[in-house]
Amino acid sequence: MNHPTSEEWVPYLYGEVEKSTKRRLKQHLQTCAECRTQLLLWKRSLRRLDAWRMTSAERPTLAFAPLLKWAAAAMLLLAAGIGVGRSMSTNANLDRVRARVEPELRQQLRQEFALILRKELEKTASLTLATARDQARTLVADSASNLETKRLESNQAIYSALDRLFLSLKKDVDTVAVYTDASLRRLAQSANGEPASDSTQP
Amino acid sequence: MSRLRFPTWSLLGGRSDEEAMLRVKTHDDHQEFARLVKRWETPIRRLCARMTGDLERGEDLKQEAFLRLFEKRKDYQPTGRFSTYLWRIALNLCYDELRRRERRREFLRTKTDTDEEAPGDEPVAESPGPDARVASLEEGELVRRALLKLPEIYRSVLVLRHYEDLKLAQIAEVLGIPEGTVNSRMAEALNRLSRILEPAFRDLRESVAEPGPIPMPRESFVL
Repeated sequence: MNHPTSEEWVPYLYGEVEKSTKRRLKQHLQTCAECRTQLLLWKRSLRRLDAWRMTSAERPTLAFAPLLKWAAAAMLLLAAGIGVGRSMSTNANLDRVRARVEPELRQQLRQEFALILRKELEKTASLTLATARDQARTLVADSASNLETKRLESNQAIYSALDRLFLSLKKDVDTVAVYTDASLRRLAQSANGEPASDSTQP
Repeated sequence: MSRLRFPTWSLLGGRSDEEAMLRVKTHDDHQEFARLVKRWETPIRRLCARMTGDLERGEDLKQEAFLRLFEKRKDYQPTGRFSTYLWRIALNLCYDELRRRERRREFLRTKTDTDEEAPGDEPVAESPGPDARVASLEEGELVRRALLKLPEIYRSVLVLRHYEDLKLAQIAEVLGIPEGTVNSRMAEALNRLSRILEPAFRDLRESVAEPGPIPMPRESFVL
């Protein structure tokens, strides 16, 4: 079987291959246990790299992103308010315009903020869920591997015990056969009137 | 690293990393430089700590990297990504540090041979601290040691791809090698890593199954 090279598997492992290559490699994996084992081993090692983890925030500067989004939303709304105010300032006094625009602006701001807040919460929740799922997957994979090793070890122990038992039984059967043979010979000799001889004793 | 380039910041009138570095180059703009440091200090510290296996050296090397960046600001060419330029500076400093460390070990080894003292096992890395024996039971410590056992060319591709999430093509840019070479180095790195980690984790599981001293978490081992 023609196996893809190790260098071809690396971009596949990280999902950095074209669709056609990905399809070809995936098809190969379905039929080749050797490559499948190799890839699983690599994935397990990569998962284990995560054990050396960070205590500080992974991307501390990202904490500013929601603030920036809020600021952007507020700026856009303010700009819209000023625009509306200016367009109306020619035929009405400023206070009346402000009184009309302000509740609307406040309402829009509240809606925008609520929307942004909900999105951020959803994002955080999905991130947490994804992390938990990954950790659970890692644990299950490790346990499965552990169980498999234990099963192989138990099988090995059973096989060697059976081998020992077989050898011991064989030895017993051999001994019985030799004794039986000797007894038969003695019987035959006594039937023929010959004196019994011990030379056939085992 | 595209996800750290803050498009929101650019939309609000902020500068991209490349524009900021160009300002530093042409106007000696300290404010822009401070912003670049703030955006990049965590990933650079992490890279240096993982390459050297030492959190404190990682912090020192991070500072050296930004110092070098400022000293060499006039050499900066805005043709490529700023991040590629910065990763390269930091990696070169890590390589220098690892070579210095190797020379120190060579010197100590020669000295020990001359003094005709019993040569002990060569340590995998500089001693991480007094409670390393306890921490050696931790999986994180096993990984740290495994990475340090890998030659630098394999360690760098693993650290950049796995921990810093650079694409294989960008790693090729940073290291100045073809993408195919990155792939073959990564394949070899994964083979070697698996050969080290498989027995290490098996031993760890067995030692955890037997009653023994309780492993205490060691903060300085966690980046």
